[in-house]
Amino acid sequence: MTTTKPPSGKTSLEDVALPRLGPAGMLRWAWRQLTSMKTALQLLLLLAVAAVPGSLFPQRPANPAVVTQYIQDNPGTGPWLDRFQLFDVYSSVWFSAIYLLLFISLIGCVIPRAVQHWKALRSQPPRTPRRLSRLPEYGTMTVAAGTALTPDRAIEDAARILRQRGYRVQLGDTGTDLPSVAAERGYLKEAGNLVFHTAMIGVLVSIAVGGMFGYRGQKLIIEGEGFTNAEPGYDSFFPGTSFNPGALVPFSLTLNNFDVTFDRNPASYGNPIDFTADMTVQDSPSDAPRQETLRVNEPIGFGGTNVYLIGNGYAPEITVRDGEGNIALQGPVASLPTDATYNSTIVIKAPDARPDQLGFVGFFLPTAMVDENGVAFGSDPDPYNPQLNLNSYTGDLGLDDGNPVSVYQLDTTELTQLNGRDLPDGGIVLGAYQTYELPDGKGSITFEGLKRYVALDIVYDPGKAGALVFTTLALLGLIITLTTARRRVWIRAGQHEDGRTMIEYGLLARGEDHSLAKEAIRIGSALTAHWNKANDQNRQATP
Amino acid sequence: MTPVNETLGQYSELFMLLAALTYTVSFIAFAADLVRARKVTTAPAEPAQEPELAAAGTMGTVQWTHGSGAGKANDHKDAVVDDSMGYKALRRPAARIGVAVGILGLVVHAAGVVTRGMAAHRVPWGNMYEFTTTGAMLVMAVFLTALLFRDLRFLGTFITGLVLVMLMAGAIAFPTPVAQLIPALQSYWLIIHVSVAVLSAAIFTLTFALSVLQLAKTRQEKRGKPRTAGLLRLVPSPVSLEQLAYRLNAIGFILWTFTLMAGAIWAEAAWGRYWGWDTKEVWTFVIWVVYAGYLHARATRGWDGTRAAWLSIIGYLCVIFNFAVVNVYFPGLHSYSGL
Amino acid sequence: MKLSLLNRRQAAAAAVFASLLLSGCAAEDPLAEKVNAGTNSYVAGDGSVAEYAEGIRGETVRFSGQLFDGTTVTDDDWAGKVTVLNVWYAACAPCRVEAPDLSALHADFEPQGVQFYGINTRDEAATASAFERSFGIEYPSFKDKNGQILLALTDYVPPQAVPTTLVLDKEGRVAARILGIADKSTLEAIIEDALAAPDPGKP
Repeated sequence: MTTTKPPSGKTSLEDVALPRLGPAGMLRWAWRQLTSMKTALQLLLLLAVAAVPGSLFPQRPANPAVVTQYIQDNPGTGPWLDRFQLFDVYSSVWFSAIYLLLFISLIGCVIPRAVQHWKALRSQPPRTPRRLSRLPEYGTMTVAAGTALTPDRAIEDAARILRQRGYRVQLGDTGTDLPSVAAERGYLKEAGNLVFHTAMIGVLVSIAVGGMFGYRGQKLIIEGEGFTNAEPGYDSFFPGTSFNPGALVPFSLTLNNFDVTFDRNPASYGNPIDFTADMTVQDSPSDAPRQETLRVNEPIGFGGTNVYLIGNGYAPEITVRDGEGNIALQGPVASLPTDATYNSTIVIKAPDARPDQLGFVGFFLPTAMVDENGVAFGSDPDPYNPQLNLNSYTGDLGLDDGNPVSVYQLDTTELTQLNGRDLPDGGIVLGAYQTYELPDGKGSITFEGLKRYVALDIVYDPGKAGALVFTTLALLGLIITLTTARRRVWIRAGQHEDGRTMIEYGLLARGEDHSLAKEAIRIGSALTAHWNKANDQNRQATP
Repeated sequence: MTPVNETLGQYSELFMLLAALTYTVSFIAFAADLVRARKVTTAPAEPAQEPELAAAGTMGTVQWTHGSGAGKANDHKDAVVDDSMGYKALRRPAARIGVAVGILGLVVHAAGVVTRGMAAHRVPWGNMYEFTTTGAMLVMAVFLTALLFRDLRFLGTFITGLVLVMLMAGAIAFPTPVAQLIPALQSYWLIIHVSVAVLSAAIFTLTFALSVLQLAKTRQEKRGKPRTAGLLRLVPSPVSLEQLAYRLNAIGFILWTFTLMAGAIWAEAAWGRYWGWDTKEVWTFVIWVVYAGYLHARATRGWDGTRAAWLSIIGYLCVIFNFAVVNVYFPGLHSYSGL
Repeated sequence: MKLSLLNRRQAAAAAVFASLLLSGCAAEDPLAEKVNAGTNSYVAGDGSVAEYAEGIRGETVRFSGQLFDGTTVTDDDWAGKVTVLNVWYAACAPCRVEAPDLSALHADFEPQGVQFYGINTRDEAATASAFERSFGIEYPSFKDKNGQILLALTDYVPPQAVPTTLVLDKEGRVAARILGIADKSTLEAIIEDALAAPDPGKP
């Protein structure tokens, strides 16, 4: 918390010596240590350090495949890094320990301070200290004898001026020879501080709510196809820990058309400049269908569940005929772009080809060119000369033992290769509408057409609104606490033997305050000006 | 979509070059000011204007005296600057030239940034080249604005030097032709999120310089050298540097918090989650925590002064790392540096 | 009454507060191509069986859809009969494991008036019939690439995985749901139970 230092001397002794106390005393000591400013600061800095490894090593939640690859590539260090949860930094025991301790420390700090501030709000400014001259800002005024200004009058004037300047004032020592006024302002500084820190807890709770009751899923939709919001429809689905299937809003959508515009300016040729997905959507089966446009940065919402355009690519339409002449596979097959030119990898599996299953692995190039070595490469992201370059395999594709496998991967180790660059029959090169007959009468493959697809993320996060509200509160609290100064002013007046009225004032800042001196000058000027004016008027009134 | 205007883009590059040349002159002038100040002797007469003298005195029937309780012990007779950064009457023609030429440079620089934006029909912060050139402009603008409130001309050499380095880095390391934005960046949050991020980075630049000088000055004083010696002669006391750095860091922290929030809102609109520990998010978070630590340190005994200054410096190094290294070398969702 | 929902998700719900926080902070990143490259391409079930006793069964399942051959089938077609609905597609590995059992059960129970329908969520007609050829599947399947039938089913007992097998009683209410590979003897027992119940129309 960014305010006053604790009263000096009090904690330093406790910091050094371990008091010889029973278990209860030890606990109290540990609690006081945890909620001390120094511990909070150390935990905060530790949190910053602990967050760094997550940017240095691949992280499982973001990229599980890359982590697996990393461990394979580094057999020595990989498993050790994994043991220390360096691939799951933000859910690791140590990272969680730090932020949970930090938040416990925060709660242990906020609650007593909130109570204290509540009391301060309802109490009056503290009494005027005996020696104002010890305060950081101090000044005196002497009003010439013969004016009508009595000490009591002076204090009343001072109180009025301070009240106008936003101070809460309390008259003291009234009826004595030395009446005084105590004033304080800037209560909002501590309030803002408390709001900021409480809001931080709110943010954490909102994140937890989202993680418990929300879900996130991915779905790839090819042009002309649709999706309804039911679990089996997802390509991958990540429910929260307390997810209730009833939270699935029964919307459906169909991708009518997906438009991509590429930059044709020579300096930035081929960069995408527009992705637009034309969708027909229904909020529920009983609602009327309506047209929507889905773009990057512009999700479509269905009552709290949002659909985001995350990726896109090409889905060549393929027909595979088997050795018996039957169609074993027909339809669009999504390819995965590997670069900005949309050169993509593609895996085609025909597990129902007979007598033997057929598999194909290779590349899809939207605009194929051939370099001087005879190697095909893609030169443009738009499909000016679409081409499939495939190797073919036959054998057990590994789908019949019941273990789920990615549709984008084919383990070829147990398969017999039919086509490939190094084989007598060569690789398969298929232009649009072309058919290739596989060797040994195993069947054929035809490149029938081309569609685009969109990769969607579908997300329901019930903690989102709370997170927004609490971060906004945190920001407001922060602005208030860092721009408000909390100050105390005391003014005392008395009468000199010769009839002059003496006034002394002192100012004290609570917390960081670099314009206390300026404030002192302002108050001094206001008082001087006021009394000068009053005396002038008096003099004119009584010549 | 409107195609880019390449002629304007070429004008923009010309303006940037002219701005760099102008800043070079300003840099030399500020450097001359520092060098010259080593030897200048202050007239023992007229001390600088003190607030109490300005305000107090006998006016009409009220006699008023005011004194700041804090010790004024540091007022060496040879010092040119007091603890509240008030300078003694001192002729600094070189510094005046530095400021004047710097303002001219900023005007030309701004013309370069604006024409770049007009050429692309969008805000001129969509790739590394644009972040760097626009960022450099804001560093200069923040510095010149700060001069209205405080005499920070002793920072002129550092600031103009840094701005020169940034302009050169933009032109040499990140040259990018004027182009339209990729769909991921086509959002009004680009205008809000990035501009505030660059502005707070510019403020942190200033506090970085103040904190470095604070450490240097502290060290000089510890060694027992008179505070009037050497190139640091024009630099005010560590206490005043620390106080100013704190106030600027507080503003920078508020803006950085907003950057983080706006970034989260944008991330929610673009990717469906407001926080995902992407590399850039990690470092933005680290920076936020370090400056939060700085603000707490200022209120913790044993951590203010030198240690807090170190936190301010570390925070800025993280800002630089986040900008120069993470954007370019780290894979992540924010990889649209245009390289 | 037998109600055994062996749901990993619900077991996980018992996790301590701290771990809830963690899962909240460790939201996964979305780049679909990356995620897709590394994860399974469908939601697999764990083979859990949920049977619903007479008293707690929901409404009669009502939807209509088109079979691959173009015929429209509505809920009238399963009135008074025990019906098995199986959600599948050709490249789904667990579906390929249970297909021979489903084919055999269909052959066993068809004479007793039990109807089988597949609900195909991903394939074109030609791919689906290649699968049916491979496993000798005689019963028809709905073409549900757009998910309309899946969505209609969420009103009753949602299929939460592929494959999912639903057994409807003679009143067309869901009597049991199997998520994941259907064990042959379990499914057989469920169908027999449903057959043993008295016809709704007759006393």
